[in-house]
Amino acid sequence: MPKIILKFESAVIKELPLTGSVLTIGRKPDNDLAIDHPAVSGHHCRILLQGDIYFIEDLNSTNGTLLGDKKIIKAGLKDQSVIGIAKHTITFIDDRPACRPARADAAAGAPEAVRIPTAPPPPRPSPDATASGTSPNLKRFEKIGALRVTEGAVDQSDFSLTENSTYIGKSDRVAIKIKGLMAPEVAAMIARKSGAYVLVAIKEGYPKVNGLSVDKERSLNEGDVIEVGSTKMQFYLKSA
Amino acid sequence: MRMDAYGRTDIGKVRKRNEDSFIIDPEIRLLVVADGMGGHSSGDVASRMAVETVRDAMKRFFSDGARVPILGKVDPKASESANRLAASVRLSNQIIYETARSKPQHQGMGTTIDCVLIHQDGAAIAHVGDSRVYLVRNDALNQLTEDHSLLGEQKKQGTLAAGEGARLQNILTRALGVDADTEVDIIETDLRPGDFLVACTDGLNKVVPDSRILETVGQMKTPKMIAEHLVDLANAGGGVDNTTVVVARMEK
Repeated sequence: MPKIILKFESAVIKELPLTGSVLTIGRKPDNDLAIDHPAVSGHHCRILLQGDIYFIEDLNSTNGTLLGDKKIIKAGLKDQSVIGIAKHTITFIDDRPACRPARADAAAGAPEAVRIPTAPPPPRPSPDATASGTSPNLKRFEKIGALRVTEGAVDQSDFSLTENSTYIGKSDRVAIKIKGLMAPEVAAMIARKSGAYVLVAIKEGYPKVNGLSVDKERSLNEGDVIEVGSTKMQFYLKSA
Repeated sequence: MRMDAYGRTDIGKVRKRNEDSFIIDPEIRLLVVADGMGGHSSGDVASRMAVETVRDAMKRFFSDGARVPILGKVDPKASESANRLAASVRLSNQIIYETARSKPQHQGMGTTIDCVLIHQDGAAIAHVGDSRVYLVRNDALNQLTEDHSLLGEQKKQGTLAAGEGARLQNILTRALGVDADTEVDIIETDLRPGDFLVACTDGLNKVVPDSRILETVGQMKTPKMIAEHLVDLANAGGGVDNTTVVVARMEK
């Protein structure tokens, strides 16, 4: 079950599971989470579950609600999002197996956001500790994946794949735009899992890697040629 | 320009080994900080090799002058000493890379590096990885180096999602010893009397925000007190990683 962790400066004050679809936060005792601090408004903000995405919504508070370092009115939450309320922070922990960070992003940006289909398996990065046998806290080196567009470039022709998921399609809301009359809004996604890269077909069978259609997903190796619509790109690894 | 410099390194409260290394060479006015990683036990080997190789190469340059060839490509926009410094970093990259390749016990080791060479009226900096060099002047703190970490890359591209930071901070996107060749950032800055340079490994930045670093420099005045205090702050905040801080104050 998703939960939130309330901290004051760096000390953990309280942990609370998100059982219902609304959780209110404020100074007054009638809130689900009461924070007794003068800089917190009586009813400061709330966390809502809409669809399968949790949102943080400011309730016109005096000092505002932050998500990361941005002041927000309403925004989607994803695992490890940090909400700032005066001197307190609330960390949102999403341990639902199917949760997809990218969805919250798309939903937060605009309600009319591209619907990222639910079909492909979640590209959720495993907590690296268990996957690679090393502690996630240890410093390590990873090359960044990158794509160089060789044919049919739309705006730029070089992309660094630094995010956990990078979407490819015709939509204005994806990171990598492609050409193609019949190309789908979102055709494919490249997931980054502990340093390795996987191409996930959002429209099954549409993206091709080295000429072969990808139905579900396929791991990427340096030099692979990805073909989506009439855009061709080559995958490579680089140091920053 | 003369400098008064002091450095301190500390294992922190969580790690079993200190994999950081630093060197201050007052004679050639060189400061080097390195944060080692990887292998089974070799992060400290890599960082030590890095700082010593750079120091030895720079000493050779200062004693034998131009007879020492520059390794790698010369950046025409940078000064000769900056190019020398970058070349010595490339040399240490090769040495660490070869050692990591040829000795199984050192496989996978690497390190960050920040070298600061102070000359007449400024400093040349050679930089790889996510250790940092700050310039403190007139109560303002300016990070001179760019973090070569996944976190730094995402910040640069503006794609960082809230809350993602901590997980990405430890993933370096550029390091010494992991490839046969590495790109070295060269940064040059002028210096004035009263300026402070602060070089640190990320054990400091994981815990102590820039604002506290600036505050500490303002309050503590001497490089020794600043370095001691900053490492204490990192440990007071949990000491999650090895922390190294080298501070230099510029004097007339």
